[in-house]
Amino acid sequence: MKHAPHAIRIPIAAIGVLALASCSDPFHINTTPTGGTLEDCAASSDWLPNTPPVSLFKPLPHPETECPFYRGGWQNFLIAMQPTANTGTPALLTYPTIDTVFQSSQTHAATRSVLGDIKQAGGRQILVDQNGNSLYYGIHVNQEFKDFIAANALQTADAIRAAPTATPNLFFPAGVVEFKSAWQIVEGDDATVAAETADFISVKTTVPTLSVDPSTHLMIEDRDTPRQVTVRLLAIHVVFTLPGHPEFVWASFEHSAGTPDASAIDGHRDVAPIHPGDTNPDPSDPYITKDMTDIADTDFLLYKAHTIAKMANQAMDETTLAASFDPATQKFANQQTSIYRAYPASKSNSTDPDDAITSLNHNVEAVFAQAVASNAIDPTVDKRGHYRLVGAQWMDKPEYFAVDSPLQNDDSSPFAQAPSAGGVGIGKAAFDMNIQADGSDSRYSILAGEDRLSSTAMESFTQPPGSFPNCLSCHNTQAINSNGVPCARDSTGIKLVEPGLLNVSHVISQFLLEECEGSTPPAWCATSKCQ
Amino acid sequence: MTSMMLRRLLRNSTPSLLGVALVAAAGCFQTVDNGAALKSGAQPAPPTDPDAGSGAPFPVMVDTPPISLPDGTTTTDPCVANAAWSMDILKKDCASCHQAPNQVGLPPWDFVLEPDKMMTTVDTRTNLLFLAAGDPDHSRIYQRMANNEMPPPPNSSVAQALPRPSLSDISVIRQWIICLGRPSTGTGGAGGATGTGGAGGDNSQGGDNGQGGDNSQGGQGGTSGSGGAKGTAGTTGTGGTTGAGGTTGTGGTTGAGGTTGAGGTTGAGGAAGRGGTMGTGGAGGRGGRAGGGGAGGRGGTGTGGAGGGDNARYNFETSVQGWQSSTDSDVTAFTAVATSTAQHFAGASSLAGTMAATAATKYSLDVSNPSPAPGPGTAITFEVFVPSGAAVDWVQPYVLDAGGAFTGYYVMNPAQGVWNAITVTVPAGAMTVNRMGVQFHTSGSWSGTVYVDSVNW
Repeated sequence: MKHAPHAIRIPIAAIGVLALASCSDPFHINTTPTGGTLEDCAASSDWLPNTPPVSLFKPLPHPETECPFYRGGWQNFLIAMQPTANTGTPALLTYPTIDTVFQSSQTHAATRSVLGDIKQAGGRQILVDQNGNSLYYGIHVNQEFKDFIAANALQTADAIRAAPTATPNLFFPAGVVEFKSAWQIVEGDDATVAAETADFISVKTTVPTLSVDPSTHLMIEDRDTPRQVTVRLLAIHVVFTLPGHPEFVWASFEHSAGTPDASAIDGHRDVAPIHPGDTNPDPSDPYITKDMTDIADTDFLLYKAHTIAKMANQAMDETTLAASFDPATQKFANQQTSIYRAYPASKSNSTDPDDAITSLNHNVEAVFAQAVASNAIDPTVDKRGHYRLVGAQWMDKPEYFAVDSPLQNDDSSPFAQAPSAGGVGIGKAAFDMNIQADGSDSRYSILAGEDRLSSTAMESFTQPPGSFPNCLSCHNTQAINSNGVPCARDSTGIKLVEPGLLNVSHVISQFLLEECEGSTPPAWCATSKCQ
Repeated sequence: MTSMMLRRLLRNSTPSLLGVALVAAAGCFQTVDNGAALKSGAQPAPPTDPDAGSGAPFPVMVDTPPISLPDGTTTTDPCVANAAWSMDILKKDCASCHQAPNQVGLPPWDFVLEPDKMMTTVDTRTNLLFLAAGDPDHSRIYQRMANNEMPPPPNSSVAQALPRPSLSDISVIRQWIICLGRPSTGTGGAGGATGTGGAGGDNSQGGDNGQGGDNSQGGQGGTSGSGGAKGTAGTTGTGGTTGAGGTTGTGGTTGAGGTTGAGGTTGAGGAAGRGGTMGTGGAGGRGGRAGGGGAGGRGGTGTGGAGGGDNARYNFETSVQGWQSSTDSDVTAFTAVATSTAQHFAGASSLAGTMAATAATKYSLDVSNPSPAPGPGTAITFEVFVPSGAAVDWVQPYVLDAGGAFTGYYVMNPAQGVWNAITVTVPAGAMTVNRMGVQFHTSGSWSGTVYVDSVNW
C-alpha cells in the first residue's frame, strides 16, 4: 500500500523512560517517534470534545492508504458515543431503532425493551458470560438511515419485500450509518456497579424478559416485558456508507482496559484474548477441533481461564442451555461460553495488524490525552477513549457491487474467471494463490481491510476458517434467510427477502424476522423458503 | 502493511535497553489500569516478548489529513473530491455522446462536463434541470443513470455495449449533486465595481453557487462557488484575491484561471477564458484590463475591471451592432432597443431592451446573419441581466439556421440583479446560422428593461 512513512530515530531506551513518565495519567501516551517505517494514519484533534460529521468523499482504492476508511469508522463511533451532558449516556441510545424506523404489523406493548436479541447472527447461538448472563444486543441507525427508509416508503414488510423488483437499483446513499452493539449486564451493589462501569460506556436500560418455550424448549425473548438492568458496552459494529461505497464500510470496536493500546498485542483488550502464539488458525483444521492450546491463564470478560482452543468459541446447544435457565434470576445456571479471537489481526494472511489501524488507535489516544489535559472532556463522563478499532472491511473494487453477488474473494470473483479478451480474470488457480498469499492486500482482491474480521462479542462462534470469513459473507446482496445468512450459504429457514442491493443491511432483514416471530406473522413467513 | 520493520528493530535492539523499556511499560500497565484490568481480566503484557507493544513507536498525528484525489493532488474539501471523481465518471461514461463536439440526445446536448450549464439548463422533455443543485432525485442526468437508462444498453440504435457507470459511480454522482446544493456560510464582502458580492464567509466555505466576499483570512469556494480574498475556487467557481480558479472558474487577484476560466488581476486566463485586470487572455479569451479586456471582477475583494473594454464580438460599446427586436406569431416586440450604460457586463455599455408586458409574453433580442457565422459545434455565450423584481421566468439563448431549424436552451428563473452567462451551441450538422439571440419570457405583466452584453464565441 502506498502510504506516508515516517522516519524513527529515537533510541529504544526512550520507550521505557517515556513509558515511566506516562504512568500517572491513564490517557497519557508516548508521543515520541522511534525506529521503523510504518504507515501513518492521523486522527483529528477536532474530534473532541464534540465530534463533527464525517466528511463524505470516496477514498482512493489500493494501493493508496486505507486510512480514510478507518478514520471514518472512528469518527462515526465517536459521534454515536458522544456522551450527553452530565449523565454520559451515549447519543446512540437516542438514535432510531427498528421499532421507530419501520411500521410493524404486530401488536406490541407501549413500552418495549431498549435492547434485545440475545441470539447471534449466523447460527442463532447464545453467548453466556461468566456470570451466567447472556449478552444483549442493540441495533440503532442514524437519522439519515431512517430518512432514507421513509423517503423510499420502505417502512413496511410488504414494501421491503417488493423493493428488489420495484426499485432494483436503489442503494444506500452516502452518510447512512447503522450500529450493532453488544452489552453485558453488570450486577452488585452500587459500589460494585460503579467500579465495574468506571472505564466503560454504560447505561441503565431495559432488556427483554427471557423464558423457555415449554414446547420447543428454546429460549424466548419477550421485549414487551422489559426489565431494567445496568449494562456496559463491550463491543460495537459501526457500519457506514461513503460515496462510492454503497456496500457499507464495516468497522468494529471493542473495549480496552488501558493504554497504550494500539493493537491487540499491546495486551489491553479485555473482552477476549488472542491465541498465545499470535498465530492464525490452521486452515487444515477448519472448525478448530484439534488445537489443544491453552489460550490464556487469566479470565477475560468473555473467556474463562485455561479454556483450550478447541473448547472455546463453541456454542452450546440451545435446548441444553435452556434447561439451565432460571427464570427468577434470568441466568443460565453454571453455564458459560468461552471466547477468544481466532485471527489476532483479523486478517487471513497475517497476524500483524494493519499499520494504519495501529497508528490511528495510537493517534486517537493522543487526541484523548490532549482533551483530558486541556479539560475539554471529563474522563469520568466521557468513556469513548476506552475503546479501540479492531478492524474494518469494505470493497476495494466497489465497481463489482451488484445484485445477487456474494461479494467475496471466491469463485464468483471476476478475477477468478478464466482469462478472456476484455476480461480481468486470471484463472482460479492463480487467483487463489494470490489471495492466500496476500489476502485483501492482493491486487486481485475485490475486498479491502480485515478479511477475517469478527467481533468476539457478536460473531463469537463463527470465527473458524470453515465458517463465515467476514462481514460481507453475510452482508451481501443475495437472498437472506431467517438466520441472517444468505440463502446461498444456508438454505434453511424463511427466505426473508429476495436478492437486492439493500440486503447488505441486516437492520432491514431483522425487521422482517421480527415480523415473522410476532404473534400474528404475515402469511409469507410460512411460504417463503430458501429452498 | 505490517509492523515487521518495527519488530525487527526491537529484536535487534540492545537487550538491556529493551528490557528497561518493557519493564517500564509493564509497570505502567499495572499502575495506570489500577485494577480495572485485573477485574476485567485483561491479558498482562508479556514481560519479555519483543513483539509486545505496538503503540509507542508511532509519531503522534492529530491534524486532519488532506483528501487524495484521483489525479494525485489533494484537497481539504470533500465536495472537491466528489466533483473530481464525478468529472472522471462523466468523462468516462457520458462525454463521448454529450460533450462538444459530440452532441447526442433528444434534443441533442453537449455539455455534460459543464456543471454550471447543467445547473441552469432544463431538459425540455421533462422540464427538469440537468443538474438540480442539492437534489439528485430531480436532476435529469442522475435520474437517467440511476434508472439504468443511460448510457443506453445495446438496442436497435446502439449496437455495442457502452461503458456504464457502476452503482459505486452513481453513488458518487449522487453525493456530488448534493454537494452542489451545499448552503453557503457566512457573509461575503462586496464585489467589484461591476462584479457581484457573494455569500462566502470568513474562513468558511463558499456556497455552491455563491461568490466569496472580502475575506482577509481566506475562505474556500464550493464546487461552483467563489473563494474569498485568499480562497480557492471550486471546480467551476471564482477564485479569491489570491486564489486560483477552478476548472472552468475565474482566478483571483493574482490567481490563474481554470481551463476555460478567467484569470485574476495579474493572472493568466485559461485556455478559453478571460485575462485578469493586468493579465493575459487565454487562447480563446479576452485580455485583461491593461490589455484591453477586463470584465467586472467576480468575488474576492475584486474592485472589478471597471476601466476595461469589451472585446466580445458583440459588445454594444458604440452601437446596437445590428441587434433588434424580432417579432413572430408568439413573440412581441420590445418597446425600445438601444445601447445603455445603466448596466454593462464588460466595457461601459450593453444592449437594453425595454418591455411593457401586460400578460405572459415572449420577447426576442437578436441579430440576423451574424458575421462570421458561428459554425456547427460552436458555443455562443450571452451575458444577460434581468433586474431585481422582474417577472421574467425564463430566458433562452438560441440560433436559427438557414433551414429554419431552431436550437435553444431554456434557463429557468435567471438570477436577478446579476449577469447570467448563458450558452447555446450550434448543433452538429446545422446549416448557416442566419439569426441568433436571446428570448425573454415574462410570467405576467411587467414593465422594465433587460440587458444583453458580451456576446461571444
